[in-house]
Amino acid sequence: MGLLSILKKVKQKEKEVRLLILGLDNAGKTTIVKKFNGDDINAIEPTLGFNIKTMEYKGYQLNVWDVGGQQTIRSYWRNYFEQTDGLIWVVDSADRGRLQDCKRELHDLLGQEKLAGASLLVFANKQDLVGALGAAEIAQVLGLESKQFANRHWSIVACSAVTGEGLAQGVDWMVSDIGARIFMMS
Amino acid sequence: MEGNKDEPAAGQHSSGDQEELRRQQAHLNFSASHQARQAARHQASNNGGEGDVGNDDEARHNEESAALFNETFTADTQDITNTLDRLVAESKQRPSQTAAGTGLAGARHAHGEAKALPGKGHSDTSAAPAVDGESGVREELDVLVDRVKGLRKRTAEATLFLTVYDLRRAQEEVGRLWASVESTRAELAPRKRFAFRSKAKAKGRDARRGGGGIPAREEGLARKRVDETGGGEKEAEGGPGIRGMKGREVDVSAEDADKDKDFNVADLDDCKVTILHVLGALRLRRLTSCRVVCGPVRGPIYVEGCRNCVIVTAGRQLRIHESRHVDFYVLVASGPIIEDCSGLRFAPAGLRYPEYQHHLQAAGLEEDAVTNAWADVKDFKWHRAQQSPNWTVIPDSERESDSLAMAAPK
Repeated sequence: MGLLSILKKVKQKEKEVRLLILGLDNAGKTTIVKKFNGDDINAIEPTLGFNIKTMEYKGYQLNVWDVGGQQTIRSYWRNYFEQTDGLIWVVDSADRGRLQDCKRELHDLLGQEKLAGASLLVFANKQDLVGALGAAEIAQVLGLESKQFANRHWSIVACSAVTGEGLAQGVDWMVSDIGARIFMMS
Repeated sequence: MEGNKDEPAAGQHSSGDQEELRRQQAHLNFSASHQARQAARHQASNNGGEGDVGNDDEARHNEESAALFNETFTADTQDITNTLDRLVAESKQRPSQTAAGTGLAGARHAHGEAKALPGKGHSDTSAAPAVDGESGVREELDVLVDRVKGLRKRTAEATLFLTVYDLRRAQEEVGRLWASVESTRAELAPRKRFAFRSKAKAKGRDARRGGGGIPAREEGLARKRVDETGGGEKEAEGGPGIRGMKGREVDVSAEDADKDKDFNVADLDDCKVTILHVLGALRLRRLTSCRVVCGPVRGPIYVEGCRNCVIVTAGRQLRIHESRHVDFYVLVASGPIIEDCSGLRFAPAGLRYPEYQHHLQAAGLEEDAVTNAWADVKDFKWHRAQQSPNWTVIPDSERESDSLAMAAPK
């Protein structure tokens, strides 16, 4: 308990939150980060490696790690697990053809010991597209209600990185959940 | 030098007492001469003028120390290797016990033995080289590990006088020994990985309970739900688009296409698809021998599993997976990504129809805003500086300058 409380104090001082953003390629991970940070989203290239963004949000310092989702580089995801407070899983809600892939990858991730304590936020992205599935449907397909997730802090939020709708709502949940867990507030 | 206290006991496992004594003696000599040399060097540096003599002396001492070191080192490594070989050979003679050792009962048994041993004293184990069972192997391996550690320490100390070559050789030898001791240990007496027991158990229980039950049922539910929106595995993709046709020409009307719509073209064989509208996103899957001509896409273009196709379009991103022999005539804002592809060819967009410029603007892809990055192809399966073998630029002579013609409205 001694070490844990010291760690908590250190973190409390800086109020630093480490967020890891993952998902299949073409899910809109980079677009979400850029839109949320108020950057231009018209010149986004597929992510070859990863991007790090540090931003201030509601008194927290968010260290956001946005890692490319291309099949070939998914095996490198685990290099980013260490000390992750929150995992943001981005889903292309309109890409029904790959939802099973998406589910498989997510379940693999959540089986990882290093992510055991991380809060999970699922962004059901691309709601601006007419063919997009809703958040409830995505939750159903990903099996978020299953027993496996019973001990996990998770939430799913429908969003559109293009319009920015839903992003703040999702991140709000994330920081408040992590805050309550780590910084012992409220 | 003190680090080698355990060594005598260990040495007795295989070689005779005399051999061990000799080795110990050599080691002591080596230590003594080493100390003497250091003292001499110290003196030499103090005496300044006599430095030359001191240097000669030092060089001689270095050689002696090195020779001594090499001798004891070789003997030690040989002995450790022999012991390892013996352990492996012995374990093969009693396969049943080794097998049992991997089970829980064996592990518990080994634990008990290990606890009892210290009371008996170290000499006891060494007196009986052919120790029976896994506990013995474990003990012996532990001793070996200590010996290799001792060797490593001595090697580190020997940096003072060893030649670079000898030093490197010794270090490599120690590394090799370490690896073989570890691998033998993994084979004969595997250590239990550290784990939080209760959690692991809980996980295991869940998996067992769910084995054929809950998860499977959930998956079934999930699939059923998708099925309701679409159909089988393929039609599960659902969403706006055209699918499953052969030998057709399809002209997608303005009602079907919209800048806020994603559009799917999937499972077509020998078809011509023309979509002269702005789209939100475009997905092309499993097309064979098709021509797809599509207006500007506001978002990404996703291509998967296509064969022998020609694709003409414009978009913000182009991601291509697992496709062969496809020609792309594209305007893209960022370099195309290819993964698990071969025989792809690229050329700048040849799209032209009356509303094209207007559509480009609607998609935010007008000329002033975007530089066409069609040739900046990034291949995830090719990490060298040279050109990837999986894609080429379509030579001018082979370009379909007429792709505008096929895009022209009827």
